[in-house]
Amino acid sequence: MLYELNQTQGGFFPEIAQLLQLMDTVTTPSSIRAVAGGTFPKVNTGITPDSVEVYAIAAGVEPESLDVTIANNLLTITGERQAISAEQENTKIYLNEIFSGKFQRTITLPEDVDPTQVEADYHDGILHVSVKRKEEAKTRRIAVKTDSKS
Amino acid sequence: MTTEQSKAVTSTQEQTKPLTQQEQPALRPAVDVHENDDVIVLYAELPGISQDNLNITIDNGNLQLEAKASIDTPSEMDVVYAEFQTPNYRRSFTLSNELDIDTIEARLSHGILQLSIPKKETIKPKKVEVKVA
Repeated sequence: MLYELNQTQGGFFPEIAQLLQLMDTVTTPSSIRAVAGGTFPKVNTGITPDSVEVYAIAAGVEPESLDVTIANNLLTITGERQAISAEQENTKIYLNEIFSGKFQRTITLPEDVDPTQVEADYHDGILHVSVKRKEEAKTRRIAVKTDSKS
Repeated sequence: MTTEQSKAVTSTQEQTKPLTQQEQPALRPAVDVHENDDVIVLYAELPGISQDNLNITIDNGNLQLEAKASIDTPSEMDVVYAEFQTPNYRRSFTLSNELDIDTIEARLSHGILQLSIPKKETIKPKKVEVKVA
């Protein structure tokens, strides 16, 4: 009798596939537009009372090739990483793990951001985009008054 | 954007680690390795690494890269989601005898480390002219 080895996910080694899935799990929730493991660039986002901060982890990208756009509350980052070129003609390549090519990521921004106030910088291989929130959306601390008679 | 040049290569022969120091779990950074007649060049993808938290050591022909990624975030920021968990990176390579470890050059640019390990003069391939009698 033949066993259907490919029925379970992961084929011959379902345990290994499960283990890999387990290792991919991060403790914080992911974006709806996040894609499977190995996506480039990885993206971290956070919010402050005044702004939304997005960090795209994209090492080795020429800053000129990076393109950041905001439309309909969607932040899109596109760019291209050039292949690391061999210095000489007779170069032998032993390992070639660093991928090259074009990439794109889209991140949903909250409704209350102001797309006219955006800043982006690229440092240590991390693209940081900071989008200010609208004035009326900012958290305000309201002083509570009391009629203290004492 | 600044290109940081560093000669962060030190020898661990003098500075040995205490045995009690526990090794943190670390990711293997992706690397490219190129070789030509004069030099072996290693490129490592190290996003979030600045010159200060990158450590390159050579101990007994064993080259080790160690780094701790960090991202400067505003202190009042709440993380919404994080696919990148500012990992430690570690990876080591065995160097062969013909490499000149005293003149290794390290350069860090946009999160890519370029490590040039030259070959010793005596080892470089030489062309032998064959004379026809």
